[in-house]
Amino acid sequence: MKQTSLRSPSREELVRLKDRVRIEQAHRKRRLLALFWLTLGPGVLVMLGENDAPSMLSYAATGAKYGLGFFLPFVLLTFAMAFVVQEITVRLGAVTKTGHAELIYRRFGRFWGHFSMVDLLITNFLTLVTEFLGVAAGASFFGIKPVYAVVLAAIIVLLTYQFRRYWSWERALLALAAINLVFIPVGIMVHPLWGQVATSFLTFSPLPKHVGSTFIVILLSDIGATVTPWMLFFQQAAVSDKGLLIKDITWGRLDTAVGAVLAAASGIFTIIATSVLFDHHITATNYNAAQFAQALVPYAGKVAGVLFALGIMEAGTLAAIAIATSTAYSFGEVTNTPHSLNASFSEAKMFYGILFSVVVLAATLVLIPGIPLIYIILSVNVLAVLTMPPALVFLLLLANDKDITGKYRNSTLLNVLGITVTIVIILAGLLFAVSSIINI
Amino acid sequence: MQIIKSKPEDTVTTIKSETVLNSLPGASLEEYHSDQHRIKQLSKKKLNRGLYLIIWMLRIYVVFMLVVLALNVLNNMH
Repeated sequence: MKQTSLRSPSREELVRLKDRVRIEQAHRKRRLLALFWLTLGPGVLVMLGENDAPSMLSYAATGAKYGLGFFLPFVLLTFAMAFVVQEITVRLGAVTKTGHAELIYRRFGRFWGHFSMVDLLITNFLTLVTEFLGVAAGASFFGIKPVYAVVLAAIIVLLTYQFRRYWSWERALLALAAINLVFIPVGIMVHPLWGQVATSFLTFSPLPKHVGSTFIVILLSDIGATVTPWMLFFQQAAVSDKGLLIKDITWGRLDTAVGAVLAAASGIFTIIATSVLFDHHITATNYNAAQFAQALVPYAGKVAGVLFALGIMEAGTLAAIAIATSTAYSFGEVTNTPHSLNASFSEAKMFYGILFSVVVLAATLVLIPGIPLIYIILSVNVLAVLTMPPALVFLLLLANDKDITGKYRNSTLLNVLGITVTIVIILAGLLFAVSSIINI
Repeated sequence: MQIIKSKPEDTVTTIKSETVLNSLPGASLEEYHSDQHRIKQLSKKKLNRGLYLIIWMLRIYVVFMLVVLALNVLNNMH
């Protein structure tokens, strides 16, 4: 008689399984809306998390400098590129039930595995600093001192890890992420010329009057920042931690597409909102979040200013959570220690330890007087350019690795799209990094 | 079916485990375990010439970008 052995599931697995039951029932009963809702998460969070504080301020600066025109459809294009890349992480996560860092470690060796982790750790930590700075800048609109804003944001970030259940953590984050959409009503409140908005989308025009070095730099910077490394590591790990299976890949794609559309809409409406400053010849080159919010008040009302500032605070907070989580995931994957939001504190000490440490350290750094934060801000973009090409190249190699993905590997079309997007992002990032040196 | 308990028993946890396992199609857990096991068994990928070249280009790129980063930091400090 054949004997079958079945290991008792751990607490982490039990929690994941209990959440899995609902998805299985929805599959069995073909309840499509329920399936959409239950599988929604990693894609929306990664895309709206990419709309972090610096990104939203970058959109605001673009709208104030160039008005309605080329950059509106351009934002849509960048998120289409992001979708091409992030869709691969859905497939990899669902097929392997493993994170990106672990796959790199296993297939390409210790050097690249540790490089990915250490580089991500450093880049993510510095990015966290910029997120807390963004929160403080947004909070200054309400007269809240930076120390209170940063401490409050850090507390909110840390509180989300109390659930010890991926599902609950994800739902809380989705509620927070929804606030990113406040930029849409702000854009509507400035009463833009909708005909001009439509023309911009159809014709990618008008181009800025003076297509100079600043325009090129912004273009390169935006393309280079289309996908940041933490997004790859976060979404694949989240798909795996959520317990998505092969049969959920289509829903994971839909989740990612919805996220891309929402994030693009948020970015586009931010540009529309601040285009009113361009129309009124207001120089907003070095505005911070509070200044943008204040500048909008005469044209869109106090509510618009409030919503804008709140949106920046949310952008920084959500990104801080997602970035910190991606750091902890990759650390656990490379060091082969437990790394799941379904695990208890005692089960995953290193995972939660990393999470808490990076958040607390980043928040502390922002509050230390005299720290040259401007160097951090300037270095983050260059650091991201350092990390991105290896992450993208490995992503494509893994997606085509028959031993890993089997029949779910990239099709020819996906490879053409993926390689094109990878080359464009790498080149743009390289040119941006080199130009930032040449401009010395 | 022999159940191998990997940890010292907690009666409540054991009962809960069995209840959940018995109430689920086992396919989900089985797929999850088998795929993770498959990945853990993977060895380093054998590189053909093309991949070897790509990996070396990445190494050169990393060194180049570290120099760029260092110049960037030095420039910012001045």
